[in-house]
Amino acid sequence: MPSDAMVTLDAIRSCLEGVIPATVATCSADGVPNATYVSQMQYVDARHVALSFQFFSKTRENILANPQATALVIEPLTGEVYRMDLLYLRTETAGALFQSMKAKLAGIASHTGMAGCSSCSVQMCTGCSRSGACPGARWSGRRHRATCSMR
Amino acid sequence: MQSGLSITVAGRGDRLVPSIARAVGCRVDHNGSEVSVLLFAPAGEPVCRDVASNGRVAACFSRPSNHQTVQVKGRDARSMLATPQEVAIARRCLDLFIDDLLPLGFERRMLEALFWGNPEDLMAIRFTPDAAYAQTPGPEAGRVLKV
Repeated sequence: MPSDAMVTLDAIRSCLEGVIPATVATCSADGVPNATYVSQMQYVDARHVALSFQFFSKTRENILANPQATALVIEPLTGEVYRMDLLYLRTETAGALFQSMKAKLAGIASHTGMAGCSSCSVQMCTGCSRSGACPGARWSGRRHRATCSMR
Repeated sequence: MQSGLSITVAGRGDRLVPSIARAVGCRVDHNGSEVSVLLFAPAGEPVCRDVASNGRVAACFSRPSNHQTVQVKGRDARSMLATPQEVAIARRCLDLFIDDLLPLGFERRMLEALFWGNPEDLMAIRFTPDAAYAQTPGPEAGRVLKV
C-alpha cells in the first residue's frame, strides 16, 4: 500500500478498539494548534466516529470554534498508523451512543482514576489514509500481516 | 520531557486545518529556552510543512504508565534534519519509553517497529516554549504551567 493511500473507515475499525490511545489535533479559531490523547474514539458507522469528553477539554473548545480535526490511530496488530481527517458534527449528552461510551469509559476510569464521560462528540470522517511511511512497515516488510501480538 | 514519553506534535495549515504526527524523542536546551521534538519523516512531513509555513506548534508529552501529561506550545517553530547527537537522544528516549511500556503488556519488537525508523530520516522541530499546560486526565487538566 503506498504512503497516503486512502482507506475506508471500516477497513481500520480495529484501530478504534482502544488498545492503543488515539491522538487528536485541533486548532483554535485564532490559529493555535492543540494535541491530545483521547480515552475513547468509537466507531459509529462507515463515515462517523465519536470522541468522549471529561473535565475541561481544549479539544472540545476548539472543535466548537473550528470543526476541523485530524487524528492518528494505530492498528494494534500490524502497527500501521493511519491519519483520519475529521469534521465535528454534534455533541450528545444522552442516548444510546452516549450511554455506550459512558459505560466503556467507566471501565477505563476505574483503572486510571479518571472521571466518567460527560459528553461525546460525533465527527464525520472525511478521509482515512496511511500516515506516511510507518517505520514498522519498513522494519517488518509485511504490512498486512500481524508481526507481533499485544495483550 | 527527555525521560522516555509518548510524544505527539501538532501544527496547523493556513486554513487552520490541524496536522499531527508522533515523535520519538525530545531535546531540551540546558536553560530550557529551546525544545527540539524529534520525529521521523515522511510521517512527520505534514507537521513540518505547517511549521515551515507559520511556526505554530503544540507538543504533548505523556507517560503511559501513570497518564501524567503536559503540553508545550510555541510560535517560532522550524524544522530541520536532526543532528547525530539528536539521533542518539531519540534512541535513548525510545529505550526509556519502551521500558515504561513493557510492564503494560506491549512487546518490545512491536514498539521498536512502531516508533523507530531510519536515523537518516530523523527530523527536529525546534521552538521556544511560550506556553505550557497540565493535561493529565482529571480536574487539573488545562491548568496553565509556568514555562
